[in-house]
Amino acid sequence: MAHDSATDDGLTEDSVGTGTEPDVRGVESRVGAWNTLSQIRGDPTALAGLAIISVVTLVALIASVDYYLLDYWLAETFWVHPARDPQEVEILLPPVGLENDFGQGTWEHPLGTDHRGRDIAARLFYGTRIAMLVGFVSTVIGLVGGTLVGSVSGYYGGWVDDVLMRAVETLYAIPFLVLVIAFMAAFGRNLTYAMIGVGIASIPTFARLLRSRVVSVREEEYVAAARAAGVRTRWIILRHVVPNSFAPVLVQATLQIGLAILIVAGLSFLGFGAQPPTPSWGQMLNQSRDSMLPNPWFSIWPGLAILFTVVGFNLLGDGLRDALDPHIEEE
Amino acid sequence: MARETTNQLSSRQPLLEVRNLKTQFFTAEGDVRAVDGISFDVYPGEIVGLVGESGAGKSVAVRSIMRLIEEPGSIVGGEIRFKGDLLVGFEEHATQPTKREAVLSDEVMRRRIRGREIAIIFQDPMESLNPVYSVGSQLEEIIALNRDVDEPTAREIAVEMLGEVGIPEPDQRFSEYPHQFSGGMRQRVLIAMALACEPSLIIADEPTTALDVTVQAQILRLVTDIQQRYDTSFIWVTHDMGVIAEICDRVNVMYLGEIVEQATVDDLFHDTKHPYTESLLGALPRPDTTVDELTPIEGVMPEAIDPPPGCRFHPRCPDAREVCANRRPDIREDPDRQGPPHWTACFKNDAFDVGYWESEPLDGKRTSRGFDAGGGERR
Repeated sequence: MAHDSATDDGLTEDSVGTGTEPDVRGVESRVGAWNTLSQIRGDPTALAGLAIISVVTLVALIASVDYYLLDYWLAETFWVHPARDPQEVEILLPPVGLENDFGQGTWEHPLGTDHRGRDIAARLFYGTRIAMLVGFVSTVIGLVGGTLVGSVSGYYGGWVDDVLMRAVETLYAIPFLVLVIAFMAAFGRNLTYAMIGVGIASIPTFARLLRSRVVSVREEEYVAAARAAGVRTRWIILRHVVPNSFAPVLVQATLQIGLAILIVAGLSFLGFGAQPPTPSWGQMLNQSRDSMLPNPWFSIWPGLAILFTVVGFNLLGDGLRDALDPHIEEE
Repeated sequence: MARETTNQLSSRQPLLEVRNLKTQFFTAEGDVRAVDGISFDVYPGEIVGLVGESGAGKSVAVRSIMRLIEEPGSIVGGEIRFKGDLLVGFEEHATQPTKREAVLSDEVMRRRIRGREIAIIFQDPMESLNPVYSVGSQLEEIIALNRDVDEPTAREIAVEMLGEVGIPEPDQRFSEYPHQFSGGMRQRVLIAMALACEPSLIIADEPTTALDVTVQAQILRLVTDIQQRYDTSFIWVTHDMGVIAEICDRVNVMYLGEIVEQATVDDLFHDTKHPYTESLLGALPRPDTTVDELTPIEGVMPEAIDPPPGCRFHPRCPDAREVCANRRPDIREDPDRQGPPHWTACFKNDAFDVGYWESEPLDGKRTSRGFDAGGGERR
């Protein structure tokens, strides 16, 4: 390290440091966002994950801007409107270069058309927006809720811990999908409630994960030092405890985004998520059920999109886990 | 070194008064009396040593002063007064804090005392800094918290403090992370953090134990230097008699939750009264005398969960007699003494009239935990 040569009163302290110092430095030097990034750069699978996520995010951003600010201006001007039925209906066309009972695939609809003649490529493109929105929003809800519950529970311990953890375990005991569907049955069937439902249902995972780390980090001497210096408890939790406990939660969050996308696609498939005509991948899968035989591509495309995105998040999650856990490299 | 004459000290108001402090830990195995009725004073501008073996209750004692004892432990008795404020106050023999005078609330304790009036330097410089923030931002946090300054000023003070404690190029090192500092440098940072708010009392909980001797010497020099410049009082916790001799003005020797001897550093070394202190000194290598073997203290310190009856040191004491096993000495001042006060909790002290000298020596009756006559010839 660059500063090992720091001298003090003419003595090289480094040469006479405590015995454990080199090891400790080896581990601690792997702290920090910059370091994590450079770790990932050397990991091809994580890089692949990052690349996939970047592409998907970019697509989602363009689609969002077009949807929220321009009201499908891009699509209507240069492309095909994803939500409106077209004038001349050419239903269930195959992708370009293939042929089926309904006709020949053309470059006008490179991935084919759906059962109402809408362009599948356009619907996939705009469906990305829903998938990413759902993944991020529900994960952030779970992350914030779980962090709150987990850190308070782990830091205070005692009856606070007991009450919070029993509550969380109760939530954990209910099957994920059942919980989300029950939530939507109570509040309403739309995308917002799907996101909130998935977010709440993922709180237990985050809370338990964070708590287990907080319980050990709260015993660290820098926490005692902060307390002795008169730092407010909530500030100690926020500034000293949570950042030092956060690595596994971050990994889980990355995996959770993929999982949330999958779950909400499943909900949409069941008719609980985004409602037509809003294009979403799960809903496309649902609509493709009746025409799977004449045109299998109708269901293959959204399936591939989901697979691609979820794999991307899982690869990055695994890479992050390796980068953030100092013990893995030692093995 | 700021060695005041002790006569002057007695006429001044103590900064910190600890009276009969008791702290216990309630564990499944039983109640551990980590600190069992200790009393001592700290006067402005002096360095008071708290010395004893591991497990003697030194750290618990100083953490009790800051009210940092956590579950399953709690302070169960005694009184701590700091600059007239009551930090801990129990009525005599009561189990609840006293009502006669307000004990500082937790909020006031946090805002006014911790960090601002009393700061603490912990033992392990490797663990006492948060690895995810730069050293400077941690220092800045403490300054911004306890002094009413804006951020740029806090940063300025932080850089200045780093320079003050002898960190070269404080500007650059401000934004570096703890892992980029060596042990001695980190300890300097911790000293800077303790000094940041110019407290009247700094508690140093074995701050040099994790450092090697050369770095320790530098840190001790820095501390005595700072002590003179800022006129800060220190409570210096250590198990190293050498460190005590180096920097302390007065010393409290702790054994199994009790203070067994209390004297000025000169008296403690040259007119040692308590056999435990003698044993500690006997185990210390000294350049001025040539010995073939150092004298270890026989046996191990018993658990504070089940302290021995009578004098707590008697199973290991080379001078123990019958009376020591049956009666427990409190700490008393030597009545015939001239000069600075010297307190001991030993029946050899003339203040006790319990027939120590007529009592039978215990040598033959010791158990395995006790003392082996062959190796115990002192001096």
